[in-house]
Amino acid sequence: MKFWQNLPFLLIWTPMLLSGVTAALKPRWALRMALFVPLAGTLGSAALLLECLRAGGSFLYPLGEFGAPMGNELRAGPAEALLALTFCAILFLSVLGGYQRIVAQIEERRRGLYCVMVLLLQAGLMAQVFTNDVFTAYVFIEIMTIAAGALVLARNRGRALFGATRYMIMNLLGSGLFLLGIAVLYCLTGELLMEDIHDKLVSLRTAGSYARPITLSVALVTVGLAVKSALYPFHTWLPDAYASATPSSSAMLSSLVSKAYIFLYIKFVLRVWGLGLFRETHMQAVLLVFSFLGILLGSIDAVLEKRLRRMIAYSSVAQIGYIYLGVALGTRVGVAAALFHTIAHALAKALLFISGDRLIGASDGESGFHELRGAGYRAPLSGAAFTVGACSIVGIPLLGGFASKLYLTRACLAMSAANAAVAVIVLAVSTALNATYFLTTVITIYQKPEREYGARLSHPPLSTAALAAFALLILALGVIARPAMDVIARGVDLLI
Amino acid sequence: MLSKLMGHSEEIAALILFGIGFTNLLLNRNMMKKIIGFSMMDSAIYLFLASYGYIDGRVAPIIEDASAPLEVSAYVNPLPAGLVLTGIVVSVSVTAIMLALTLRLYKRYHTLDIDAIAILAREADPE
Amino acid sequence: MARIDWRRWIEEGGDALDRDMRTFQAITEAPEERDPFELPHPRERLTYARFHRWSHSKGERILKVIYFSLSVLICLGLSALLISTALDLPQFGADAELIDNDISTFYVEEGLRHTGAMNIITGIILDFRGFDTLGESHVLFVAACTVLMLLRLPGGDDPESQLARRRAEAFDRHFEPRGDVILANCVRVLAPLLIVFGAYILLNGHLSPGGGFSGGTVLGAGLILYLCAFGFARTGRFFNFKVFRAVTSGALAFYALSKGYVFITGANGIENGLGPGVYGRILSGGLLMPLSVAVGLVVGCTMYALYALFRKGDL
Repeated sequence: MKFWQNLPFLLIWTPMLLSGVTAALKPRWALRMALFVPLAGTLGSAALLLECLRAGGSFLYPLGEFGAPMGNELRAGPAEALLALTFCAILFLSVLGGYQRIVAQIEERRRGLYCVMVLLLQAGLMAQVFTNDVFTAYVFIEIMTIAAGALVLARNRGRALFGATRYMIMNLLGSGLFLLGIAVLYCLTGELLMEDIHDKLVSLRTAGSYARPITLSVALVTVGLAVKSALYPFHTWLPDAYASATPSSSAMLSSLVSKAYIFLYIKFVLRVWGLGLFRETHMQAVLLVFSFLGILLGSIDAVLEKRLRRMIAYSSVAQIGYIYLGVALGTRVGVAAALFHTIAHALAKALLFISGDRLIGASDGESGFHELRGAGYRAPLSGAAFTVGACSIVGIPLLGGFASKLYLTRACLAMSAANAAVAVIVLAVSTALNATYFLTTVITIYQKPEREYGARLSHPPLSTAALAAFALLILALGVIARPAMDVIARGVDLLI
Repeated sequence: MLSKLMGHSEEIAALILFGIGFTNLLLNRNMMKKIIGFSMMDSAIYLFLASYGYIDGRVAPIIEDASAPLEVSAYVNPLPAGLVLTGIVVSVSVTAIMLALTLRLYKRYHTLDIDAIAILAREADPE
Repeated sequence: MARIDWRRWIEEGGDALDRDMRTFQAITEAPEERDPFELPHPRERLTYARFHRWSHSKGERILKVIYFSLSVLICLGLSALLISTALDLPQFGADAELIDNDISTFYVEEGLRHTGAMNIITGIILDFRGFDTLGESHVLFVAACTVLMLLRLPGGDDPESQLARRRAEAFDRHFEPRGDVILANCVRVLAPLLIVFGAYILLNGHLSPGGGFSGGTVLGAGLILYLCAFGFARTGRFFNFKVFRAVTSGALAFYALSKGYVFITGANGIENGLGPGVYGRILSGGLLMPLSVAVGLVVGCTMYALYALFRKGDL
């Protein structure tokens, strides 16, 4: 085993080890830790991605000398490494971009613990990305759930507490269903490793036995992860949690936590059940309907919303619908498009939350749209960054969102004619709705202000650079869409 | 049918408990009862998992005499017990957090009713 | 009967109470009273009044009916669905051909030889599936941190934080009065016994039923009992926030480091020099016993910290 193949384990283990150390540090140093560890994670996962591409394959990493299936196992390939890179980079840029707000909104005695949560969130994200064992996935899901809840409630306000409570309740329901799902899977197969479960399920299916329990376990895991990643009918917790947290937390929750659950779901689809079983249990059709509903109704909710942060939160519901649409197609191309959209949306949404909050900060903290007029002039860089993020989500060419919508549409066309027509209509309507609410916002922030506004908050220059980095990454993803898609497609092929 | 039900008594009990706990966590408006529902739901899953590790007539997988261990088929499957042990700690942690959140919410809004808290939070605490 | 003078308590601090046992008596007998500092702000009273009206309205009654019927429907429907599916699964207590496979056989057959643990389950959770357990002890850690975030009182010197601390102190003395002779005498016997028993379970986790989690909870129970009987001032002499932080961070760091060592050497095929030792000895099983102790310390400290935070908001 080469040295770089230890990287997946180190990416999970280092934040866990340092989280205990961070708890004992002074808040100032803890914040530096929360910047440094995600940065190190970014570098590590970039190295892993390069090595994976050079080696041209995926590999398994046994935890302990016995190896799988006795012990746990990690698995890394191009898709996992790319996701890890995206997650670490966004985590780093979110903390950096919202630095001033973390300092302003979170009391000093809570700030150190906030940083502990950031590190544990990173460990949880990396574990979701790399794990090859369903029970390990459950344990780290709980770490992520709690850490993300703590990131919301760190802002000591009644509203944030309420948002965190709703978030926790729905997520606990989701975890419970997920755990019951993997318990049933274990009872059926006696295995916990993804490909071993898959092999057993295939043999059970060919023998024709236990069809109902298998369907049940697929449904439980699907509903559990759908609740946790806020697919449409289960999204009610989302606006409260996202709108009340500090902007860094909102960015992390919307672009990392829910995306990690979706990636775990993709691993279940491809590695545990296999696309054949996924289609046979009709879970695919159910997901397709829910993703259509989410795309349309989430967009309509966002159009109707009168406050900026809640609007961005509702737009997440629609975007998660897009990602599930890609998964629900049940084809490799669809899953690859879903992964591409995951990355594009994660970058854009984190940027929108952070720059949107700065625009609000430049408007005396008022988040109603009429108060945001002229915010683009008062905070020029944030306005520009917001415009880039909004354009990417709407799907303006040259940006990441355009390429992802293109790939998604192309994947939809592979369905039967009637379904493809419905899908294309839904995508078109929703793009129009996206344009309605995001471009209206962009126009609003460049309108003439109605009144004078007080002095705006000053942000450290590095923190402003984070916004520029986000915008550049979105642009880069749009420009190098084809190579990025090649990497994802190869990763998806290796996942199966 | 009845014998089949009796043969699955353990799982059926677990799954009924799961249903009750799940419904409480989802729909009960009282935060304390929600937490009780959560505990029930998780315990039900552990009961379910543990019941599948049990086999009639076998003993717990603890070797009493290392020089003369019993044969393999004398012990039950140890893995479900390990998983349940891991899971219990997780549910204890989550229960503690939910109780702490409830305490804070009660101090802020003087009620345990989540719908009331929702109304109060929207009216008293603008974002 | 004397009225409770919360304000005086809070202004003068808890020590004034110790001197004045008569006040103390009066307080424990006085009817429970609402904390004046937590009454809603006048601005909010309007909202409360509106909510109160709503809660007696027709809409509220309809909502209650809807909630109730939905609950019954979901509960029955979900249980019926799950049960009807579970009937297809193998029977309880039968030879489960599905999950009794080569893995469980391997654990029972080879577990002792590989890990040196007489208690196979300890061998699984601390060695074979040690990564899950590493995650699980971090779940406890993250829970403790979250509860600290939520409930810990501010430690600053500004008047507001001082007031909050004094109020918590006054409340603690009111609701958890000290000086109960029966409790104190029982605890003098029980607490050492519990702590010794907890340590025994920790040290024998790889040989007999028990291990880090069960032993840790017994340790925590001993500490909590001591706190109940003798109060924060006396417990704080040997167990305060600094000790909690040092023990938890230290034990977790030891756990993570040793697991990291085992995993990295294991995956890279390097000999780690941790043999199973002589079966049945207390110093056998490689790192199992130290790991049990580390987990136990984390669990015990966390249990005690949770209790203390819920009771008073500080350690």
